[in-house]
Amino acid sequence: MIWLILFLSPVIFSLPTVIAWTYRRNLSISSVVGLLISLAVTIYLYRMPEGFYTIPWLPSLGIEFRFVLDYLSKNMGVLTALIAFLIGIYSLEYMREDYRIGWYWFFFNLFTASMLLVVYSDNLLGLLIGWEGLGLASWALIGHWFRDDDELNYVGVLGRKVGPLKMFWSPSFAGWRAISTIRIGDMPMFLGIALIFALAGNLNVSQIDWNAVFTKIGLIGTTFLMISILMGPFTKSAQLPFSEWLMTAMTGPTTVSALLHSATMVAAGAYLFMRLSWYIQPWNYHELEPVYVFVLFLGLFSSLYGAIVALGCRERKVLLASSTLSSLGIMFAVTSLSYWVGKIAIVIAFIYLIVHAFAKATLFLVAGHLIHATHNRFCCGNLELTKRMKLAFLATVLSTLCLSGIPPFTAYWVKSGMDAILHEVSHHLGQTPMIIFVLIALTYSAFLAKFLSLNFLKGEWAKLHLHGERLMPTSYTIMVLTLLPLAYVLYLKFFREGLETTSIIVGILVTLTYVVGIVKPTHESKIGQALGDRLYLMALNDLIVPKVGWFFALLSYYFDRAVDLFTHSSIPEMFEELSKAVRRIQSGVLTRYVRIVIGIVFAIILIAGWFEWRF
Amino acid sequence: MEILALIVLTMGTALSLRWKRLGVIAGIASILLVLRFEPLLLIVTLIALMNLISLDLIGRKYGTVFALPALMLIATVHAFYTSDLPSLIVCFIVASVPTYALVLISEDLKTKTAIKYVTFMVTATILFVLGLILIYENFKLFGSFLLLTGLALEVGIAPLHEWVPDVFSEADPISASIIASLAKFVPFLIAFRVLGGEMDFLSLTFLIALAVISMFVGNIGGLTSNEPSRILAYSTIANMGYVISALAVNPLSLPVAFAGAFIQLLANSVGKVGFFTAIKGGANRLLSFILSFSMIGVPPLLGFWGKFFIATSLLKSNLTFLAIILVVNSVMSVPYYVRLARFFDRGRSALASAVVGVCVLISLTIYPNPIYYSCLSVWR
Repeated sequence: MIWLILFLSPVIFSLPTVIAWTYRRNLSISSVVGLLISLAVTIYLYRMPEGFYTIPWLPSLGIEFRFVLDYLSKNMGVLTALIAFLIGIYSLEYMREDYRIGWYWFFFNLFTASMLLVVYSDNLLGLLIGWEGLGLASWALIGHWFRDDDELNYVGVLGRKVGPLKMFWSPSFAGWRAISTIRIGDMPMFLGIALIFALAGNLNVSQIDWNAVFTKIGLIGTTFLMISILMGPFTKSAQLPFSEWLMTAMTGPTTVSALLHSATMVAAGAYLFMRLSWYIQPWNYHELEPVYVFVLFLGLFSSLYGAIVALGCRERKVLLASSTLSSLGIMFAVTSLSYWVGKIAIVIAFIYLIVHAFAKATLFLVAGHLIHATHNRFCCGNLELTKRMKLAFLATVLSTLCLSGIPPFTAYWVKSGMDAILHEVSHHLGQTPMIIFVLIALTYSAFLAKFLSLNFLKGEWAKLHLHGERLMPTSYTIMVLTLLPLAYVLYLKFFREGLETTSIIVGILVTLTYVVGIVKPTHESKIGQALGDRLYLMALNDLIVPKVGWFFALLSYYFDRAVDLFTHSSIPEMFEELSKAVRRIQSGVLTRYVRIVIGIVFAIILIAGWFEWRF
Repeated sequence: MEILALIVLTMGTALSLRWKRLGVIAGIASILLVLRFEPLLLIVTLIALMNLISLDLIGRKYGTVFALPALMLIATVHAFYTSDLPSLIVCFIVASVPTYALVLISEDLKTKTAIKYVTFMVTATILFVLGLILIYENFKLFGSFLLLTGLALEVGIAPLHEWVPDVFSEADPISASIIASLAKFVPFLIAFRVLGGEMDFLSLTFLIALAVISMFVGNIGGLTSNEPSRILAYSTIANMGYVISALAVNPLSLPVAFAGAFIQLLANSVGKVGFFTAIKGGANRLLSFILSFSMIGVPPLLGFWGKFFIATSLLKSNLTFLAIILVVNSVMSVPYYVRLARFFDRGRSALASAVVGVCVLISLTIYPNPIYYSCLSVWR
């Protein structure tokens, strides 16, 4: 029952908005009430004892709705519901003038509900429902402004072209790109889950006998299985080379970007990887080594890519999007370290997910407010803007400080934990991961500082259109303030790692780059342009993959033509000719007929007579 | 009973020279006299009645023509209940000769058409009767070849079908409808009685070749024909192909094949009577479409059941390829039947509408069991 309330209340409470928003636009409040109920339920669940709760679904196959309450799901659930609720409050004001509020709220709440289902499901099939719900809702929300009529909703500079590449993307295109990219990962994931069911006869992550599964299929089989399952998280969390959809997803409303990039959707990928690792306990299986090494480096390189791209970005939201990509890479990489150091790696990655969620949601909400105020999606704004939007400025300062890992703010403690375990892993993998990680951390803090500087301190002058917003600043202020108690909690947890020399050195370096970023936020160069164009990775999406598609389209076109030719021209013409030939006998002249008939009859008589005589 | 019917018919026809209506009454009376309560024969009788009544559409001065279909029906019914050779030969001739006269009648005399028709009919009759006698004299192979050739000429099976399109399009539609319906029963009945299940390999091959060629020639020829009566002619050729293919089955499934062949003949007859009457007197678009669907063999209509039983018996005798050819041919026939149905718009005379209506009613037989069992009992 409690589960039903949890998952259905957002959806059900959004229905009044869906049905009647054209008459009463303030009905949106009912949707937020639904989110509030979910939040209350998650807090209630947080206080429940850990364990499993099952609801039968397909008893004949041993498949059930099985929900799990453990460290991961309890925290993640509260996080998701809280952030969704705060963003919901923000949306009340942000989306007030929108042209299809019903659509927005339904999918926004469906998005939240799906994420909660993903968070609490122990059963992979139940999880898949939420997983697909996320995909559907992300498509609907990214393409929310389907009319493509407002320059503010595009990504990239309108009309710009690099070689054959069109460097701007409309909302409808971005929505389609998101869902199509995600489906590419979902297919192998379905197969992987089916394979697990075939091998283990069970889909409950916590109950599957992983030992039996891995020993049965051996090293290669395990690698294949895990990679195919992880294809889902990889695409969902936009790891390389599937990152493009995340960047163009910025065409959706800013609230959607905030939700998408903090606690739902992209976090779902990382979360699923953590949950799997949590119960597989990879430190017990040698078969998993190739997979975890692969994920480690994939995560690190994605992260590095995201960080340097963010360094080159000029659009507010795209900059934040690639920073999200960078953070997700870190989450994947750190989670994969659990193979060497055990559960602590997952815990650290998860805590980083929480910190990142709050900070990133804040930054997105601020960015949304800025876009509203300046009517410009590129970074702009100077001290005058800062004076008139003090709360936004303070929230940005606090969240960038907390996210970039400057001591003694929140992320510093988490990153110290990461430093510590990377140090431990260096016995197995050498110093490469550590070096890449430090590079990422430095770049990360630099571009956050750049974001701050370009929007509030040293950016170009921007004309302001303020309408006395109340709810928007309130919600992001509350959100950023959660980071402070979190900093204290983390200080208690990681203070030993935080005081080690490496951590302090990294902290000082990070602070330095932060200062550099603030002082000199822009530097024109070719490299910077290439970075801002995301290293032209979109060529994969816009040139290479479509070629494959065109190939199939061409193939089916020719097949179609062949069928057409065969059925619409060849056969009818053949029959027409045949028919005419058959009818040509009918000349209407009796003697001709008689000749034919007598000829045939005599031939028959001759043949028959010959056979009668011989046999 | 047949004797009595003949006497009534003779009297009535003689008197009809004076009183035209008396010919119609005598014809109907004699038809009713030979009525047997066997569903198959009931429908045959009904077809004969329709032929007789629709002759009124030609509008001749004298009533003698009405005797002709009645005479053919008496011969047909008699053939079902006799088994000795002379009677069969007589029935064959009596069922065929009236059509010679029928071809002639029209508003104007169709001498040329009649000569064309009679030439082939006489040849056919000679070959058929000769074949029958030879088979009785134990020249099985030669006899069955001659019999089949005669049959092919008589009913119009390709490649001996040359007269069919010409006669059907030149003669009066009502005469053509009688040639296409009532005249077909006796030749096939005799062929089934004499040849059924007793053919050697060579004549079987000959038979199958005839069936296949006839189906294809009929359906392909129909595809591009423009006149409705020519389409009907090719449709008849194709239908004769279907029916004769039933002869190829082995003795075990012969009863089913016989039933299938005669249900197909019934379907063909009502379709032909309906369409030819429609050519003469117009027909409702809906009714003509139902007739077309029955001829195509759309499921539950009468035309479907005929093909269904034939195909079943073919499959049971390991003649799968023939069954496939049959089905392919029914598919091929779809375009021209639909085109045919589009020729008609609305009925122009009450009599024609009534005849077409009865044909449609018979075509709507969706429960063929009575006819099927009746065929089986007639076969025994």
